[in-house]
Amino acid sequence: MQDPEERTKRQTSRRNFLGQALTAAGTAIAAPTLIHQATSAQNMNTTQTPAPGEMAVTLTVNGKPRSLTLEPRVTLLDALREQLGLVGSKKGCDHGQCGACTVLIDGERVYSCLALAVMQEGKAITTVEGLANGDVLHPVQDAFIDNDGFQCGYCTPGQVCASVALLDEIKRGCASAITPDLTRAPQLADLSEAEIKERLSGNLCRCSAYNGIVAAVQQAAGQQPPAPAAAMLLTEPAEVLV
Amino acid sequence: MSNVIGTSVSRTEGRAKVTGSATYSAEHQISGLVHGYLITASVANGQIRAIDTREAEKAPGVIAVFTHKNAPKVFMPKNDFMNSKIYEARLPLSDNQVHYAGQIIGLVVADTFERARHGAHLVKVEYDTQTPLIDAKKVTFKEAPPQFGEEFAFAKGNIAAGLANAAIKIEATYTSSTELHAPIEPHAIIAHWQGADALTVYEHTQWVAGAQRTYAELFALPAEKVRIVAPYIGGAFGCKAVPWPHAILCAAVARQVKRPLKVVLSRRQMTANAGHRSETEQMLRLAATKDGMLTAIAHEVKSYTSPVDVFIEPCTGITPVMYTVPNLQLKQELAVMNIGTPTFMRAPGENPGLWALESAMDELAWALKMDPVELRLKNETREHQRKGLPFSAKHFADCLNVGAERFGWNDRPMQVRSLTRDGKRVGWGMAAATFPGLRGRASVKVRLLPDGTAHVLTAANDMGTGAYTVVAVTAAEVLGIPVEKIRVEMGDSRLPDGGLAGGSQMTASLAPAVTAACQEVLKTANCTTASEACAALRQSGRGAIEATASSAPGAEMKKWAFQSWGAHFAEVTVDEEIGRLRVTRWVSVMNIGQVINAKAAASQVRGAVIMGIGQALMEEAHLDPNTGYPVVYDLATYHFPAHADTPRIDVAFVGKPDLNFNPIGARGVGEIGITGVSAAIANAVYHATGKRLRSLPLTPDKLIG
Repeated sequence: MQDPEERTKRQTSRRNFLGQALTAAGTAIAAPTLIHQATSAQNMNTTQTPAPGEMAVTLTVNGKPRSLTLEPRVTLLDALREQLGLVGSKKGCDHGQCGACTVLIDGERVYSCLALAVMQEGKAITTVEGLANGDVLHPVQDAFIDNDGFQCGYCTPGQVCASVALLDEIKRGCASAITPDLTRAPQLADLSEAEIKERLSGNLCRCSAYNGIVAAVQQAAGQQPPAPAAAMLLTEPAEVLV
Repeated sequence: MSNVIGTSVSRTEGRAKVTGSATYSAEHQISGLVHGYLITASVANGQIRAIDTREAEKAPGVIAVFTHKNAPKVFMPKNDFMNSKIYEARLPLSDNQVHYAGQIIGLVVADTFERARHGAHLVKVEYDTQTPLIDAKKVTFKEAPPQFGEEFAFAKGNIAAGLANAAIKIEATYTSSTELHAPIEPHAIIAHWQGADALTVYEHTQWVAGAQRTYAELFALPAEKVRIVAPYIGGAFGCKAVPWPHAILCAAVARQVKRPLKVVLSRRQMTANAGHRSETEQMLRLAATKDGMLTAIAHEVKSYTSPVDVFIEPCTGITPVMYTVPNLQLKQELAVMNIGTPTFMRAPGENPGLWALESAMDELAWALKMDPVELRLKNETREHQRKGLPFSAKHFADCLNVGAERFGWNDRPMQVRSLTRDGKRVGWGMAAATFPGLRGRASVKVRLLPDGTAHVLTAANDMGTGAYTVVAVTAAEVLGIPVEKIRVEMGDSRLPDGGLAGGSQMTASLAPAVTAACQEVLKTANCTTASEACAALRQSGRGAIEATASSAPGAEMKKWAFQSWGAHFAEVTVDEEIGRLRVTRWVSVMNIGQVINAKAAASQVRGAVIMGIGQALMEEAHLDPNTGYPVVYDLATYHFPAHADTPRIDVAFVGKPDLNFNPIGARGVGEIGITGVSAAIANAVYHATGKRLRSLPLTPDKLIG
């Protein structure tokens, strides 16, 4: 998924935390980068000849280079879904409001509906399709199944990717808006339900499988989550109740 | 029997969902696919005077533009909900009339999504406009007509006398707001014609066989020429049962342009074009004796519909089932406004109906100085007072008593503003939950293979309910083979009709059909166990043994009233300085008969309760009072609960099978969990603050100070 060296390079700091908040807040700050990327993309020698108004780009998705031509207005989400056939990342709102399109870019969670595809060259994009190792699921994916962390499944890829990123952020010592002490970030073992909920509130679930999702993160963090099933008052087919 | 029914089983389709390989409507890979983008009206009442599509037609990638001037031919289906049903009786682009803001007035087809969207923005429209009817206070109400064959008005006893002679009376009006289903998967369809007379529709539908017949009627085709494919549905809650106008238009245009066509609604378009729950105004009058016996209930309801179809939010359905009362009067009225067509939304009628009735019951309990649990126990009815039939396997009292015990209800001070924590007011409230036990006809095919596995095939669907797993668990139980060896295929109209996933009836309809088909396959094999049958298969060299069976409700419907029951107990905190209301603790106890999968059933109740918390705290769609245009139009403006808004929901089931209902004894669980939730919260708010709030949602402006 991610180079361990790269991971250690990113320091635990308040600045890092603020930087993430900005990334989540919007793409406006990235406009100069867009122009730069577009120029460099046009200068590149690619095998495909872009049609007028289109650009050739190579995206690195789940470890594989994928070359495509697209208009600069195409979002990463639409490029994944409509051009690369990677429909695991979901379009829920197309406005950065629901989180169903969450992917990892260089290990950080990003709403792919707010990211332009042409800006992503040279970055490592991981979608939900790239989390498992062959037939072996990522521990977060297993935990979602065990704890019934989904119902219809449409927000699930975003919830799973966000949860993977969340656990990594904890390991890196990132604070959240409700972390009481910014000098002492929570550890996986004492990560509270409130912290998990705060850190996942950018991912909406209309089926409201929230209890199961929080339990899945607890399990993946090495904690013991509450059992997902309901209590049964009557376990024997006998006339216990009248 | 393997005794797997009632245990906790992980969803069989879980792996597909967590790896992103589950395929939803817009995601089927079809070569030559083109994209459609809707053009929608920017006025709420008027006529299109002129529509100029020339610039759009010239734009790069645009293939065609359709408006009312060149609308493709579509036939009006029977629309009777037996053979076929569409959500809006006006066919798309049928004339130049605009009935509500956001109504579909055209479709642009292009080679990419971006180019279709750009093309739609290039279409210029001029309107003649009239003042839209938007203000609920200025519209004309008429008595609501019967809906799906059922009258609304009902009277028993003498309501005037019942009210006049009472020791205690409550009279109050409760309102609920316009709510959006807001599934995370937007409405989406791919229509793919094979020539001009065979159509494949990739569309989420809660009613696969109904969609097949409806599209067949829309295009005057035999049903077998239409195939519906819907293996996964990204949330529905009532708004994905039958075709909306955009879907009809997509299928019609795809035939015209001779290309597979995909249309996905934007959030803004969903607000106007894909249904909502109507706002309601409900006047309740309750009368009781000094010792808390109800003597009269009068329930009068107002709701709203669009100019192009009739849907009545059937709030009075719950009134005759909840409490014994000698004098009962029900009335519903309806007004037309320039709004999109409302429709079924999770527990239509039961949900707003119980919001009003369970709030009023709480008011009555306070007036009587009686515990609200005791008041409900005291007035529980053993029969459905409209049908005149006894309830089967009720256990409402168990839900109330066990819920109270799990919550610690008996420690509740019978005084408002008596609890505080961290500088906030704390309150405890409770309310009852109920939903009818519905069941329909369903057919299932079972195929037993020599390797000891079984396939179960049915045109039912799983919109997140856990139906795939319910079917697998039921088959595993009857065949005596592990759940992992059962492969379930659903959501394809080529399979036997699996019925409707609506009215919480899919489990109750499917489980008996699965049972019957499994028994039939053993009978066909002339074996008592599946392993015996599989061994025989291996010996004979045959490929498989198959059997199809159907199951449907029968004479029991005339002997019993089937209804599920429950009780919610809620704790809230109110920060009166800033008006912030939080739900901090929740206990729900439900009786839904036999529980098939303890894990998925619990998730259904948790999800429904949280949706109810949304209704109580924040969900509210608004129209601009002058233009009629939605000012709440996406997920940033329409708020529903996020992770941080949700407490852990403690769920318990009674678990006793209702064998009068079906051979498994299972009633549905999709909707009951949301009923009563908003009342439990408002009742808790009253306990916390002494403020009786009768208008949903309970926003900070109502709680401050």
